[in-house]
Amino acid sequence: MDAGTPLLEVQDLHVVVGRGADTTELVRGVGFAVRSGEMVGIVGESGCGKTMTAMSLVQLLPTGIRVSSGHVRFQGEELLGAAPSRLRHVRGAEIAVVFQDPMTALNPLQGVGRQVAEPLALHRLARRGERLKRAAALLGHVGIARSEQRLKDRPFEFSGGMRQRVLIAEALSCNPKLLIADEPTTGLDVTIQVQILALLDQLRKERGMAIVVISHDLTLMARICDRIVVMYAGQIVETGPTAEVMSSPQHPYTVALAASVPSLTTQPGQLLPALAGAPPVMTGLGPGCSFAPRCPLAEERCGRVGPTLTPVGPDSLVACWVVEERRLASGSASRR
Amino acid sequence: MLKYTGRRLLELIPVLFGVTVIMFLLSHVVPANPAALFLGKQGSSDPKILQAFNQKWGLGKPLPVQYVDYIVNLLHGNLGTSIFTHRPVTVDLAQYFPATVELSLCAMLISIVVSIPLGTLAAAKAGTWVDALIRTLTLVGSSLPVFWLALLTLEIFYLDLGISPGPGRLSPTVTPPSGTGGFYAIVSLFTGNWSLFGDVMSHMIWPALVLSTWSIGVLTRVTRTNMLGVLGQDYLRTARAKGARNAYVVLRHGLPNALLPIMTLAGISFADLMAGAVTVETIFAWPGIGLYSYDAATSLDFPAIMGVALLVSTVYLAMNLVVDVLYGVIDRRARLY
Amino acid sequence: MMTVKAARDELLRVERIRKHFGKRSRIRKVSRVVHAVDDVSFEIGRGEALGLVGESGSGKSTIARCVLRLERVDDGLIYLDGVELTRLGSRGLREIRPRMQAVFQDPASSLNPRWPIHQVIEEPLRVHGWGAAERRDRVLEVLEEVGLSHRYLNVLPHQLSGGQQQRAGIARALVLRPELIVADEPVSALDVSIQAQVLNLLVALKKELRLSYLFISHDLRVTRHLCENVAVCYLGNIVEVGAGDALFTNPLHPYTASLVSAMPLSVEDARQRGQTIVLAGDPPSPLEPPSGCRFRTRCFRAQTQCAEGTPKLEPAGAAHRAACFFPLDPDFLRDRAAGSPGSTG
Repeated sequence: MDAGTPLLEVQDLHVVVGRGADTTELVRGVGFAVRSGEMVGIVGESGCGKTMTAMSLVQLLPTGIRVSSGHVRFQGEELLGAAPSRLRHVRGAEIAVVFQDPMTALNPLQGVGRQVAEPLALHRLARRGERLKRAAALLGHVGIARSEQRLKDRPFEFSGGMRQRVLIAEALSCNPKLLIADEPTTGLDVTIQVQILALLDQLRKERGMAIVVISHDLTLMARICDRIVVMYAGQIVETGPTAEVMSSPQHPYTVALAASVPSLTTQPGQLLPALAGAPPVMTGLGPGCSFAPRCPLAEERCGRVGPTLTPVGPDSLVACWVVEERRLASGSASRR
Repeated sequence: MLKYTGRRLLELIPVLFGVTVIMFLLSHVVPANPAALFLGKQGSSDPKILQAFNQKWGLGKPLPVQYVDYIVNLLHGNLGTSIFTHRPVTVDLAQYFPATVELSLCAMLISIVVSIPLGTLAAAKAGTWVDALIRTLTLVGSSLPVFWLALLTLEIFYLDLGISPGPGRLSPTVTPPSGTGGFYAIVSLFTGNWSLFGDVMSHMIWPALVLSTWSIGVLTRVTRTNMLGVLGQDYLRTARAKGARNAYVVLRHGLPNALLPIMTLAGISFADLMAGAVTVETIFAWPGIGLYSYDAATSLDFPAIMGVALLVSTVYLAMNLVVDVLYGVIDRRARLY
Repeated sequence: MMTVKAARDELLRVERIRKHFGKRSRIRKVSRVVHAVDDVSFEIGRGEALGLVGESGSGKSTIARCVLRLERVDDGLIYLDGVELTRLGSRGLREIRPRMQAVFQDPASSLNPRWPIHQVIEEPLRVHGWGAAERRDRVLEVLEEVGLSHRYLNVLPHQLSGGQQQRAGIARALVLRPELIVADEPVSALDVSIQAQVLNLLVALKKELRLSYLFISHDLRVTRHLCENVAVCYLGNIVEVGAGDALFTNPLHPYTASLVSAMPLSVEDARQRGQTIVLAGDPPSPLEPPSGCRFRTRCFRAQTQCAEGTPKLEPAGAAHRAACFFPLDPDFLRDRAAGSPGSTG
């Protein structure tokens, strides 16, 4: 594959729920690219559409929710509208998904060895004896001790962190080129979260695999991601290399998100710069910028017309009128 | 696994014991006199005959003594002699029970084979006309009075259409085979005696179908509900994300998980069937436990009543044990308890 | 900022409490016991907040329930303003309960879904025999304190957002004018931007009403922001206790250090890749805690001595103390950040 072509390209993705007059857009024109070996973090609060975006990449949306328009190109091939058999091949073998809740994402009746080996069986990549051997190796590799003896153990015999590792092993068994991890650490203890993230990073480097991580925790993403995509109300409001987004966030929402978490620089006991209000309900969105009602920088134009993503650096984009104006005013072509 | 099964077996013993006590007390609390029933009005008004009767059957002794006698006999495999038939109760039971066992097995097999696919289909197509149709059918099935259905079946298929060979286990021309212990269908199946098997089945299929309507109704609904619950589970989504087709996901991941509660219900239904469906057995002249227990109850035949009660309880307990063990086999979490 | 013990007006005092849960046993030979809380002591002054941080299995929620007398301790004493709680009968308990109230983690499940908000909030008043007019006045008063509009009086919980539900939960806790609030992960289930709002509310209430908090959380940042003092729990023991700032910048106990490095305190620090302390293995089960120091199986500084004796919180009497035979140097974290050889892996 040519070095310039991204592994995954998402363009103008729209995901809706409901039919006819009752349709509500959950994802409103999202676009981004992921290169081979890159780790991209999609960050946002509940309801911002990040999970729907990720699920639409492999067409695993819940019933009633569907992609209404857009493009999802994986290695140049369009996935939206692809034949179901082609999609089934891509799932698991080329693009793997690790889901959010390790407690419920594993079949309680089957041994973990069998579940980890299942993708190999489904995609006919190994014979039976070989499959279990590979499963044992994978489980050992993700940090499960004595994996050969534990192949027949059921999920309930593992702790939360270990179950998450089992899920990761499952996802890796066919050596996918892209891994999508939906909130892989939410609900896990802090010290376990660190282990899981370190594991993901290590695996990525070993296999040259690209990873898309979805999370609500900005600082957690900042630890391991190369690039950050910030979503709000179904749209991308800012994206760029992690270092830049974290050190100098441009979009008022990103700024507020970072500032509302207490840190060493905040005085204990002082009031945090909290955003008023709550994330919007997707059914009642107007034409303007969806963040405007809570935005400290909101102007008149923001309520009328929604801003588009404009470059603010070689690899960074921000969707905000005020930011755009400031840049034009200062005449600078790059951040700082 | 062994420990788990052992625990279950141990728990059976006190229950069986309790059953004997309760049944004993209950059947003796009934304010009716077997002597009166057996001897008739004239005989029971004669004190000498009465005394002889009571003496013979040990009815004069105090209750606890009667009970202890009973238990001692029980442990020797002696269930007493039926007041009515004058035969050992064990012989009676051995004669009538196999017929019920075969009938229930047949009815249960039909139920399972029909309800599980039907229930799964209804769940997979929930909300569509397929689902509505199946649900309506099951409702009808479980609401129809069994005795009416039995009569109707005989009427239509025997009297009018002549397809059914009629009541009874075997055609009048066929001699009951010896050495089968009463298990005509099972033995003839295993020995390859197809003509006998054919005859037995052609008789058994009708009452079995009638009996199964109720359990089909219930099992299908339960299957549907459980499948629906399971279909929403996250691990199905995980399987899809690995590239599995929908049918595979439903059958390999969904169904086994849904089966657990269904198994419990199936076990109980089976035990229910084995307790003897009195009306069906009567209408089809099926010589089973249902018939026997009815006679025993109405004639206050204590030994027979106790014998049937004990048998039925044992059957229920055995079914529960089987279900528990199956649970332990399928779902390891159960073994923790 | 160090707190001087003598000048404190002490409100809550917990002395060496122990709570074990027997595990269900049938025909088993060994009855297995969950060592939830072992030998835990701490104090909270009036108007002060103590944060209990730890992961799952640390025992922090059990400690909270013991303080609230929702569980009975197996051993130890608890004093609320001088009143000993563990031996209190039901009458005494009823009298003292208004002085300590609770706020829970999941607002959706801690509010009765079939009751309108006003009923949820006034229930404690009913229980304690307040008249109808007084109840109404107090409910309106407390709604204002938490920043909920009066128009939410008659709505059902599911009609409110997560942040509003949590405010309702806090209102319910405040309605009897308690002195101590035991809050078990009150902001963990909320979105980040809402979390900040509720935190601000808690800070304001603490100042205005001179409330004390026993604040349980797994989130160090939030805890540091709200609480003057912090106690770190691991597997039923308190392994370190001290003033928030001191604890997080110069932790003494290796576990505290790993918690701190797992959760960066500032966005700027978040870019420090490769400096996180990754602990080995999973937390041991509370059914069979390791002998000696319970943290030794995952500790990067463990020695043979750690298996033999159980370390106590030392130096005794100091404001910042840790239970460790080999406590860290004060500059441990800073040295790691700079990448100096004092760090571990």
